[in-house]
Amino acid sequence: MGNKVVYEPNQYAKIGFFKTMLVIIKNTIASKELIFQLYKRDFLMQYKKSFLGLGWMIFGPIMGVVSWVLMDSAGVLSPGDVGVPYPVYVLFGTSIWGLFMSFFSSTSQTLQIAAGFIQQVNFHHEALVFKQGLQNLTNFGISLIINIVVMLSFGVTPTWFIVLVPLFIIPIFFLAASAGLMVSILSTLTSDVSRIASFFLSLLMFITPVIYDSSEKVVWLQQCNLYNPLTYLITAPRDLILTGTMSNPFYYLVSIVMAVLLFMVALRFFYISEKKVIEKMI
Amino acid sequence: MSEVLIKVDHLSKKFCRSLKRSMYYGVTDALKTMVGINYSTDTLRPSEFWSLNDISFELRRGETLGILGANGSGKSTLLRLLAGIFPPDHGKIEINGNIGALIAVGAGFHPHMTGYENIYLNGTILGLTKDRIDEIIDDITAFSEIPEDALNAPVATYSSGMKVRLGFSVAMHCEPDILLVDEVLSVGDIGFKNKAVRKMNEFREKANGLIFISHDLEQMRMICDRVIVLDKGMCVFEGDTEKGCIAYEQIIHKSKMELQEKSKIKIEQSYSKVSFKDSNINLLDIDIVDLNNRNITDVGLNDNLIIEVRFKLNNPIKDLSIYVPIAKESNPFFWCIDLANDINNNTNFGRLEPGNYSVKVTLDKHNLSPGVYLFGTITFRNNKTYETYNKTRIAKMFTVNSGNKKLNRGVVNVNDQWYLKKMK
Repeated sequence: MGNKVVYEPNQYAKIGFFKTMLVIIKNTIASKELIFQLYKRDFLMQYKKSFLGLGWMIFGPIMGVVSWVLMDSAGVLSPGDVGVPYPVYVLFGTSIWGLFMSFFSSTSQTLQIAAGFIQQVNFHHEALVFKQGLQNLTNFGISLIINIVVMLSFGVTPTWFIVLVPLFIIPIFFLAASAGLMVSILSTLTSDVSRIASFFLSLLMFITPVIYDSSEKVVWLQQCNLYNPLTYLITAPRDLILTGTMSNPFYYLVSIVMAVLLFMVALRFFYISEKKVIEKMI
Repeated sequence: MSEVLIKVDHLSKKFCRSLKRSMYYGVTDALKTMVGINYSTDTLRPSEFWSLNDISFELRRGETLGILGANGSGKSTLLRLLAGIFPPDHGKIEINGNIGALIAVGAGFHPHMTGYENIYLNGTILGLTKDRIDEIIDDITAFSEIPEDALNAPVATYSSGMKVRLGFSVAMHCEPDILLVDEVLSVGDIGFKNKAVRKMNEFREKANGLIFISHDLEQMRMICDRVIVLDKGMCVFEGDTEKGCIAYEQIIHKSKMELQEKSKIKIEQSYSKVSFKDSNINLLDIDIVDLNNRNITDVGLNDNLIIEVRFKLNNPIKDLSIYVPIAKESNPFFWCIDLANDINNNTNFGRLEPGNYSVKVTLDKHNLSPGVYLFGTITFRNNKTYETYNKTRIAKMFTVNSGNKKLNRGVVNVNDQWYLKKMK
């Protein structure tokens, strides 16, 4: 005999903040098989109707590398002195940036990817958040391996910090998902939100020192870099892996704490609003 | 009394008709929730309406409850609330046991995945573990009747019937305590439909609870112990299946009539129709009347059925026959009875002079089973020469009420006696 369930108006909002986190963790663990099945559906299936199939997992990142190397050799980029060969620098930065972006764009589609059955079946929707994250990790893992190969071919050996990559990723996921979850809820209601969000996200790349080094740029840009938590979440791992040093450990820590808090707030928002929003998914 | 599986208490749910306002309400509600402001969902704001209004009922173990109602009466919304997909706006739902909802079969099927892969995917979405699916996969595939080679092919290559069969098989093998079924049986061929009904009866015999939505009254009568009838979000009937089906037919009939009232032209164009007319006869009206000659619309099972036909004769006519067919409202082109005064029953009106006439037909025992009926095409004809004078259809309906008796479901109601004897 199953458990007793009660449905009432606004019942999720009545659960306390920290209890929400526990419930979400519990639900996510309970849905591990669902996460895997949906991961399989969305990740493997995107390559099904394709001749190259899984080959795209490797060709995709390689094509990215080629375009940066070409641009660099043509001299169209003036990155400033970054200390390591520019393609390596920019590749590392952009793949971490790319991870942030893909975490964001996939979590902002959290409810939408289940559009086919979310109104038909009741399941723990938290599963969708983590499934989306898992999918991006796979892509990132592959591009990381390619990056390392490129690094070695340019004569740069990564420092031992490379083994900490899984830890570096966590705060990036938190920050991206906190924005993504909010957008997922709000864009279900109105499509304005996703348009505005994608505009700001593309702007964000320019104020994050991903393809350039901050020190030689104009003051306002340096200020933007300074107050942008992404600066630290992306540059700290990159610098540690490429050079073994970190310029602002304190700010990095502050950014991590910020990302964690934001993620918790966003998760709570997602948890208490998602059911109200699903009924408006048309 | 057996254990209560579902208790629905003064449940209400509202939706918004306007897209813009719906967006606005959605965003403001979401922002209010975010900053922790409690807002009441009890009242309607502009453009909102109650999709479900103050519904209360119980489902007990071993019981099958049918939900009847016209399109848009709130049936599917109710099911989604019970399944926990939509939150209520007022009232409370208590559920004891695991609930399984068959709202759309094959939810989440991926067209490029094979049948087998989709069984695992769909099963997991419905809450099964991989180990459990491993155990029952043979039962699922056998029940679905999909051949082995098709199960290894992508679902995109399946016919819609195959998809439904596969989806239904997975859902039925989840074995929840309470199953909610929403009209999924309307698809699939007759063989599979029968199998599905058998499976649902099996499920019911295991003393689980079942809630069933369908527009097919025969299915309702076969499966349900009790029904509730929804009309515009409100529960207008709760109780015996047979009476519920009639209540439902009346609602459908009423709304049809209301719709027709709104535009007289539509009546002319849809049901009421003069198929043929010469200068001899005009049909004026047709009614059901009681012994005191008053027009009525309800007839009891044991009452006399008296039909009055009024017509105007413009020229003298000899040997006039009038044909009055009666059909079920649900199938107006299949006549249950075709009354006529022709040579067969020795009723000859002889020669009639011009003027207005009223003719009454009385059926001492009408034998019609309970339900909503209407008249087919009323025909005036010469019973010697077979010359046709007038063929007219008038939209006028009546109901045969069952009283408290449990009845057979056919077109006619008969007095049957049964004798059982063991053969040597």
